[in-house]
Amino acid sequence: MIRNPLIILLLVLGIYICPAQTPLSGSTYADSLNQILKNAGNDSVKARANLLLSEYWYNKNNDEAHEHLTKGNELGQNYPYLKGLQLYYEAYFYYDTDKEKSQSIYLTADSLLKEYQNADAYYYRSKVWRRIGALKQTLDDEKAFTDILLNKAIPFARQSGDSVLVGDHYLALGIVFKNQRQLDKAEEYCLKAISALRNARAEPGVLAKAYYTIAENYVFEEKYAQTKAMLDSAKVRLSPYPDSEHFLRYYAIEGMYFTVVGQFDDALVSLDRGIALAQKRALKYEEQTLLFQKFYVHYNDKEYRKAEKIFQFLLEQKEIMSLAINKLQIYQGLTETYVNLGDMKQAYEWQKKYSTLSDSLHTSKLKSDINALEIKYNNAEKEKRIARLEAENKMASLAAHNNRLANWLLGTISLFFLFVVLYSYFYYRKDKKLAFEKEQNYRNQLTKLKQDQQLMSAQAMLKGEELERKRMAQDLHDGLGGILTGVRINLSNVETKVAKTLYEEVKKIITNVDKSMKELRRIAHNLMPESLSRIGLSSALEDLCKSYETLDFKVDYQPYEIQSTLTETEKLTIYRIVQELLNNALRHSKASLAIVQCSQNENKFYITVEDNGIGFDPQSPLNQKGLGLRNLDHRVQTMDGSINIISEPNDGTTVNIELNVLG
Amino acid sequence: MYLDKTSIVIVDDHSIVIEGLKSLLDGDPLDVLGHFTSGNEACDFIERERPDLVLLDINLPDVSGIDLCRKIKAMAPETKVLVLSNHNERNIIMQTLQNGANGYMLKNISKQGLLQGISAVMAGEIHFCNEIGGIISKPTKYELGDPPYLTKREKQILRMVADGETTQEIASRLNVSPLTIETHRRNLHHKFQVKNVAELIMVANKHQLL
Repeated sequence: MIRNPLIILLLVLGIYICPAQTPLSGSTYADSLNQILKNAGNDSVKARANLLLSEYWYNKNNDEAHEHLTKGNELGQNYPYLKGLQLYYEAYFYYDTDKEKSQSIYLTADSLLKEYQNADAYYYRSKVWRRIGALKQTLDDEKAFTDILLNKAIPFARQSGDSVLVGDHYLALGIVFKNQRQLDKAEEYCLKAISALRNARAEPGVLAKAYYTIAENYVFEEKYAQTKAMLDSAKVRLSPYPDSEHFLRYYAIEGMYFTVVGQFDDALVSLDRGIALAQKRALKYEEQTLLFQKFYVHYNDKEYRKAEKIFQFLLEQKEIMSLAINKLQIYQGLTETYVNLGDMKQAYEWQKKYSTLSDSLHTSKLKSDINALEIKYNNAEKEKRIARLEAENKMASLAAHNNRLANWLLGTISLFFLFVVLYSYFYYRKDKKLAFEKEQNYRNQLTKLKQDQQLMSAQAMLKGEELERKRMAQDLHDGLGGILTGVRINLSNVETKVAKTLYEEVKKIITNVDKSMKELRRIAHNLMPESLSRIGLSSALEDLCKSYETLDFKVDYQPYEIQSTLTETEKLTIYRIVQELLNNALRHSKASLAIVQCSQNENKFYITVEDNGIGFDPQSPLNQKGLGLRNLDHRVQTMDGSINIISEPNDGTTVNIELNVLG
Repeated sequence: MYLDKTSIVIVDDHSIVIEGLKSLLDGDPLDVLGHFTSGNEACDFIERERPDLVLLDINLPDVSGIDLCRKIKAMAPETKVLVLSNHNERNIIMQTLQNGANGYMLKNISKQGLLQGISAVMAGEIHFCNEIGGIISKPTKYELGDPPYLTKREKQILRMVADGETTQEIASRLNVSPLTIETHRRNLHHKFQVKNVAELIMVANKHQLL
C-alpha cells in the first residue's frame, strides 16, 4: 500500500529531471565560449560560439540567450550551412512555449542540413531529431519518441561518429523504457549507453547520469547489489563536482535504495545531503521532493510524528502543492499517518480531503477524458457525417449520372424508334406504290391479253369470213356464173333463129339474163375481188373506186408509190378497208365527192378517205363504233395500225389510217 | 387446113360456155379448132396449131387470161386475141390491151355482135363491144389537166410548207410522225408533178390553193 505511491513519486520526479542537460563544468563552459568569441577572427566560429551560448543561457538568462542567438544569426549570414544550425538553436526557444512552431522549425533545419553529408551535419541532424522526438514525448507519444531515436537520431549520431551522442540517445531510450516499466529493455539500453559513453570519455555528468539511471532501474528490478555498485560508480564520477545538480538526483535514488533495503538512517543522511545541496542551489521544488521522500523514510521507520511534521510542512509549500498529484499523495500520507497515530478525527478529515480531491481529480480527469471522448466522438460523428454527406453526394451524383444516362438511353431509343417508324412508313409507302404499280401492270397486261385475244378472235373471224367469201365467190362463179353465161350465149344463138313473134319475148329474157349475170358478177366480186391478184392492188382499188361512182358521186382515187411486194392478206385487208370506207361515205355522207388516197413509204401504208358530206359528231355515242367501224377497227389492228377520224357536222369526214406492212 | 375459114380456139373455164360458143360459131367461115378450160393446155395447142383467132376468157383456173394473152402474142404474133369476159373494169381492159389483145367484148354479146367482132379483128381492127367502148373512152380527171383534189390534211401541210416550216415542226404541230409528213410532202410532189418545194408552191399558187 505504501510502496506504490513511492514509486509513482520517483517516476514523476524522473520525468521532471530528464531534459536538464547542463555540463557539469557550468560557468566554466560559458567562459571558454566567451573566450572563443573574443579571440576567434572567423565569423563562422564566432557564430557557432554565439549559438552555443544562446543554448547555454536559455532558461538561465533568456535576454542573454536571445542576444547570442541574434548575434549568431548576424555572424552566420554569409554561411548557408550555418542557417540549419541557427534554426536548430532558434527552435529551442519555442521548445517549451510553442511546441508546434518548434517542431516545424526543427523539420526545416533538418531539410536544410540534409544537403550536407559531413559529420557535423549528421551530428546536428541527430540532435534535431532527438529534440523532435522529445517534443513528441511531451505530448505523451512515447512510441514516436522511441521510433525517432532508433530510426533517426541514433543512425545519424553513428554517421557523425560521435559516440557521446550515441550514448546519450541510448540513455534517453533507457529512461523511456524505465518509465514505462519495461525494465529489462531499459537495463539493456542503459548498459549500451554506459559502454558508449565510457569509451568516448564522455563528460562525467552524463556518464554519472547513466549510472544512477540504471541504478534506479535496478531498484525497480529489486537487484539491490547492482544498484549499490552503480550508485558507487556514479558517485565516483560526480565527486569532483559536489555542487552539481546531478547530486540531487543521485541522493534521491540513494535514499530510495536505502529505504527499500531498510537502512532508514542512511536514507535520511542521503536525503539530508540532497536537501542541503538544493537549499544551497536555491532549488525549492527539488528540496521539497527530497523532503517528500524523507516522509516515506520516517513512515516506513514508523516515526509517524516526524512523518506528520514533514507533511504538515510541505502543506505550506506552494511549489510542491501546485501539483494536484503531490497534494493527493500528501493527503493520503497524512491519513495513513493519523490512522497509525490513532488520531481518527484527523485521519477522517484528511481522508475526506483526499476523497474530495481525488473525486475532483477524477472528475476533472473524467471530464477531460469525457471531453476528449466527446471530441473524439464529435470527430467521429463529423467524419461519419462527412462520410454520409459524401456518400449522399456520391449517390446524388450517381443518381444524376444515372438520370443522364437514362435520358440518353431514352433519347437514343426514341430516336431509334422514330427511325424505325419513319423507315417503316416510307417502306410501306414505297411498297404500296410498288404494289399499286404492279397491280396496274398486271391489269394492263390483263387488258392487253384480253385485247390480244379479242383481236385474235376477230382476226380468226375475219379470216374465216374471207375464206367463206372466197368459197362462195368461187361457187357462184364456177356454178351459177358458168350456167348463166352458157344460157346467155345459147340465147344469143337462139335469138337469131326465133320467129318474129317470139323475138320480143326472147329479147326480154336476154335482158334479164344479162342483169342476172351482172348481179352475179357484182356479188362475186364483192365477195372476192379476184382482180387483186390479176391486176394488183392499185388497179384493183382504182376499179373499186370506179365501181362506186355514180352521176352524183365522184370518187377521186390517188395512189402514190404502192409497192407490189405486199402480201395477199395485206392487199385484201387494204382493199376491204377502202371498200368499207367507201360504203360508209356512199351510204351516210350524202357527199358529192370522195377522195381516196393510198400511199406507201417504206413499211408504212397510209389510207385517207375524205368526203365533202354532212359529217357527224365523233363524240356522239350514236356514232361510236357501229358494226362497220368495229370491223374496220379489227382490220386496222390486224395490220398493227392506227385510225383517226376527223369529222364535224356539215364539214365532211376524214378518215386517216396508218398501217404497218412488211414491204 | 381450111384456107377460107377462120380457125378459132376457145379458152374458157366453163364448158357450158364453150358449148354455147361452139354452137354459136359453127358453120360458115368459122372453124373451131379446139377448146380448153385451162390456160396451159390451150397454150401448147395454140403454139402448135397457130389458129387465126383465140377467144380468151380472163378467169381461168390456172393462169390469168391477161397474162396468157401476152404469152400467145409472144408465141404466135399472127394469132389475134379477142378477149371475151365478164370483167368490165377499166384497168383489166387496159391491161389486156397492153398485152396485145385485139379486142375486148363482154359475154353478154349477141351472136351478131360476136361475129361482127371476129370479122373486125380478123380485118386487123381493134374491136370493143359497145359497153367496153364506153368504159375505156371515159377520161380520167388528170388526163384532163384539172387541178387535183387535195385532202384537208394536204392543204394544211401545203400551207405550212409555204410558210417555211420544216417537216419536224409540222410533225410536232400536227402530232404525227415525221415520216407521215414526209410521205404527205412526197405525195404532193407527185400530185402536182413537181420536183421541189419552190415548184410546188408555185403550182399551188397557180391553182390558187394557198
